[in-house]
Amino acid sequence: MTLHLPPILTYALRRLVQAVPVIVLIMIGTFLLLKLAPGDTVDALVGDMGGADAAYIARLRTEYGLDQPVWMQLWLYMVKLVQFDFGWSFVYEESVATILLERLGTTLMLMATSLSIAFTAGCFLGAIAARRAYSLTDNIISTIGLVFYATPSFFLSLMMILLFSVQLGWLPVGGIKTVAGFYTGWDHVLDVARHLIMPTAALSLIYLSFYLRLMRASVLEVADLDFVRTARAKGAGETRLMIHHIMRNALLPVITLLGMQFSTVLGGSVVVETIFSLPGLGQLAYQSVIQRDMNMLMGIIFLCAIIVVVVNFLTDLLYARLDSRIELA
Amino acid sequence: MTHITTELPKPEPHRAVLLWRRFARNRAALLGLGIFVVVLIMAATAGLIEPTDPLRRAGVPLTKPFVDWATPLGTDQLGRDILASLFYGARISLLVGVLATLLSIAIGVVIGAVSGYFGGWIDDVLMRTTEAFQTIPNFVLLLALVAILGSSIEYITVAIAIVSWTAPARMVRAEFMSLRGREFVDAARNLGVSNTAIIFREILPNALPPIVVYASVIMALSILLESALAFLGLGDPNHASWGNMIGQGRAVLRSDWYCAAIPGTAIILTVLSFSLLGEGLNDALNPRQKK
Amino acid sequence: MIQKKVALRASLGSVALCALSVMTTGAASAEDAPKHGGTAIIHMASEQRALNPALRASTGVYNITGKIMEPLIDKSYDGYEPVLATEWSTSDDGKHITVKLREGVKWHDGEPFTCADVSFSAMELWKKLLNYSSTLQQNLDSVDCTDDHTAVFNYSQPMPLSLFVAAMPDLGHPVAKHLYEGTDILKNPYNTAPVGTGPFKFVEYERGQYVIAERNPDYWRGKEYPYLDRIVWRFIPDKSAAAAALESGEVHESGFNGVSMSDIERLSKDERFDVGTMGYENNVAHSTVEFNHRNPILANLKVRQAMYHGLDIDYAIKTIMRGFAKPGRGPIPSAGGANYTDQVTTYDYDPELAKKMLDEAGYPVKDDGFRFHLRHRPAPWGEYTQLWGQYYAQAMREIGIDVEILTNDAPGFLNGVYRDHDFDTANGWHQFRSDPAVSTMVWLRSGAPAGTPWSNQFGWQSDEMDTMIDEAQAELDPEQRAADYHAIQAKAMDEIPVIFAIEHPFISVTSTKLKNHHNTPRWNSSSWYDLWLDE
Repeated sequence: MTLHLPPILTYALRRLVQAVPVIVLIMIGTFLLLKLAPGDTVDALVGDMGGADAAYIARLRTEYGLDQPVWMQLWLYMVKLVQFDFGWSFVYEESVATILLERLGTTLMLMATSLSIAFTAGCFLGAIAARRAYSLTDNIISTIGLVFYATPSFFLSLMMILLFSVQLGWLPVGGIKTVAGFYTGWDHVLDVARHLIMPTAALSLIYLSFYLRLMRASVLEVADLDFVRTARAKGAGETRLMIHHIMRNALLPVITLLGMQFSTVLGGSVVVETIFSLPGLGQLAYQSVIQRDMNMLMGIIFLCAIIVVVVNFLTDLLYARLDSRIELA
Repeated sequence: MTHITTELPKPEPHRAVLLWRRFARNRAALLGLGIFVVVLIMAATAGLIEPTDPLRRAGVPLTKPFVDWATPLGTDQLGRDILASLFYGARISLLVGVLATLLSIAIGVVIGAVSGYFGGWIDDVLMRTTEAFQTIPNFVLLLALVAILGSSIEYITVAIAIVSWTAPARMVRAEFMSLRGREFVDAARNLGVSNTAIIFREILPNALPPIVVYASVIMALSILLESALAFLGLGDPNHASWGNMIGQGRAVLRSDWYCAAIPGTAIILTVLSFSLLGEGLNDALNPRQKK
Repeated sequence: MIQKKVALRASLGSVALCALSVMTTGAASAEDAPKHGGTAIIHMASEQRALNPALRASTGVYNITGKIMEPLIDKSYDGYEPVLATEWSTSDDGKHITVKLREGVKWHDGEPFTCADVSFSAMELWKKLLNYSSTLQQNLDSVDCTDDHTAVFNYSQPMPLSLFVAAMPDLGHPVAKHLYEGTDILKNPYNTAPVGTGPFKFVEYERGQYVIAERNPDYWRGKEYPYLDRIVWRFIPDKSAAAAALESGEVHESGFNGVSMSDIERLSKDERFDVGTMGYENNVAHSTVEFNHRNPILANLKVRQAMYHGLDIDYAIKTIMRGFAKPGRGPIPSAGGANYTDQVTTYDYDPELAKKMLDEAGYPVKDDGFRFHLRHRPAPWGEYTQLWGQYYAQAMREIGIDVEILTNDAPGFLNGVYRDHDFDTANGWHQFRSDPAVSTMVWLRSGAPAGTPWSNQFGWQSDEMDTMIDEAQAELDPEQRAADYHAIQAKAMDEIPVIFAIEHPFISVTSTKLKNHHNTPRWNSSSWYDLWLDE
């Protein structure tokens, strides 16, 4: 008896099967990479403590299984991972899964808002710039976008703190919520939102120009294509033309890149999270590298891989809905 | 639409002139070129500004700009001349930018070309590898590489290249996929031209324009990545780099803002110039506009 | 603001100044009656995820847990002060130390604190699991409880009472036996949710964000203590952001140089803050230059002396430490009390002399403009160590020594220097913990296995020095012990195995709203039962 899966499910399954070797590759690569780095998590811990004697250090290493050969450690890790056991973080004295869950919310919130703002504003401004290509408006929009892109994120973040927290006193310096504020309900939501304004702004301003440029180029390209010319020749209004024909098709390449952006933004958020003391995955990843917190870093990378796979899958679906040619096929 | 070709049989200008005209139509690109030339001049003349060592103690620490003419832009916390560091920093930034870009594009071109040309399992393996590299957040990978290799400027450059090759690889692959079926490739193959020759002589030149444009993006990114590393204290202190200057100037941001602001402006302008140049190159090289 | 002016740039360890500031602090609290209530918010630059001082000896851990868990003995400006112990004495042979414990003290869960807790903690944690303490207590055979409130520490070798007492504030925190016995101590959940006897009870630890502790209404010092309702420690890793948080009033205190030196100097001129080195007399550190004596050039004493002469220490103190420091005089800082002496050889800044000495040592300037090349590893401990490393490189180039700096993160640095010995010179700091026997002597004593951070991994060995260190540690007579340490200090300054270049205390920035702050020599680690907030 043959199973008749809906095409969407078949597609999902195929993507999943393709993703497995990538993830395995990533996990092994990351593990070996961090093992190449000088020092291990015991060195980092002892450094944090301000020192310890040799016997103590040796005992910790045995305790953490770091005295075994690297291949053995990798094997033990992978066996556990298959059972979705992320292991224990010796740096946090807590299971990796617990910490990841704690951090995931903040990161998803930060990224989802930053990316949607950057995407929406970038596409909008990019479309305007393209419609008036090479005009003063285009030059101003493009250059301002590029200036933000060219500003190192820590520079932008520090300037915002100086202006909005120290000078004006409007926004909190950092953190995810008011400490010991004990807000509930809507007050809590508003409180968190206030804390996220500056980091979100910093991240979205930087990535805005990315979408802006892409959209501008994309619109210019599509505007030149035959079907647009035909539509124009048929007497379609410019606004209608823009929305129904150009935007729809120009968005395609932009959306394809959205999925891949997640990792990039997560990397970019390392610095922003550090400055704004946000307990997110970016900062955690950085800390895990310098603490040689193997299990934690592996957990983060695994989570990233899963998120990228899911986001890519969703963008593919979106792509299919937007592209008239795929719909017809 | 000024670029629509007319039927008039004008003498065809030289290709370089044509490219320059298309480039120069974009005023912002000209501005970018201007800034880039200034940075080049700074890098070239650094030795004139400070013949010995930009890291030496040149004056009283934290002298403000325009106070002492021996150090016109002031000095940093260790009494180093900011002007000299700025000029030497231009060298380092260009060096990191250019080398990291060349290296990452070289890796990207090889992987993309092989993958796109041969297809099949080779393509599968290489593309899965590329995906793996794209899935790991690039800055986290960069931090891990710097943790392993150490923070010397050579290793930082290599590490930046290692995290930047995936996009060019995908672009090259896409071009190869669409070009490998064309007649001129089939023709070459029928004539018994070797795969290597077809890849590098026949297809690659056609696939290059978008890569050249993308190079400006990598240049810009590598300068930003270097400064982010310096911000986290992982820069190379043996060289005056703009990233290091900001990284250290940050500690005195509130009292002696110029220590971070001067190199900060230099970074913003340089990265901006690369991006503007990239736009100009895009206009000049984009095949669609040639029609 | 008399206290501020006094505390500012107070040379540490200066007994007169300490006494004066204790008086002013005391006077201030007598004038305005302390107020109850309020939340003090404290900045933490780094996060010590484990919150158990009996497992991890680290100032970062004490900063938080010191309010929740108490040691047997603490240190005040008047000497050692009973906390959970009330009196202590030793037998004639120095092998049995008897400690009387405070009665009527309860753990935060209501169980009584007894000798069983102390005995369990000493044998299972202090001796086996606590860094630094495991060396100190290696000869501890047993702890007998003659009654519920008397503990006898039995040693196989004599243990000087002064050393035992000096170690207790940092290495003498008992845990509750009933919460730890029979569990995997390293993974015990109370390690991140501490239960103690202190004036504040642990409430919540939100990783990466904050720790909250609230008033313990049953505190043994009496109903009026503590004054504060709540303490919150906020983790802010970025120094600029921390300075901004202080200025916007989101944080009341930042200790251990939690903001940059430039901001410290700037805020010291701001009326809203008390800035100073008070309260860190027990936590003084040395900025060092460490040599790898396996390199024959550096094994030459004359070269090391020349390099010392090439360092403009006063300039470095002025520019890098902004005046909050003083030149080092060997392994014991001036905060070391009786064990410190300044009667040692010193090396003034004299680049011409340095060049001449290097010429004489057989290292003239060669064609490339340098005498020789060194690979230097700076510790990544933030602003000042990095700047100090760069200053060192700058200064060495001036006398013709080319120094290449190899930057690493913490594990990379600790490995490169203390395990692989892959360096020519290094710089970092080492904290002095009130007694040389439990801190700086490991820099000179040979025999530490490779991989022990902050120990003598420099390839320098002196039998004479080893003997002197062992004798001083076991010496029971305080006066003789001090004399022994003076001799060690003098020898260390003559032979310069390590340059203890600069002695610097830590600096704190405190909102003037906080009262009774920095009134003990290890204030950030103390219990803060008398801290109050004037809002």
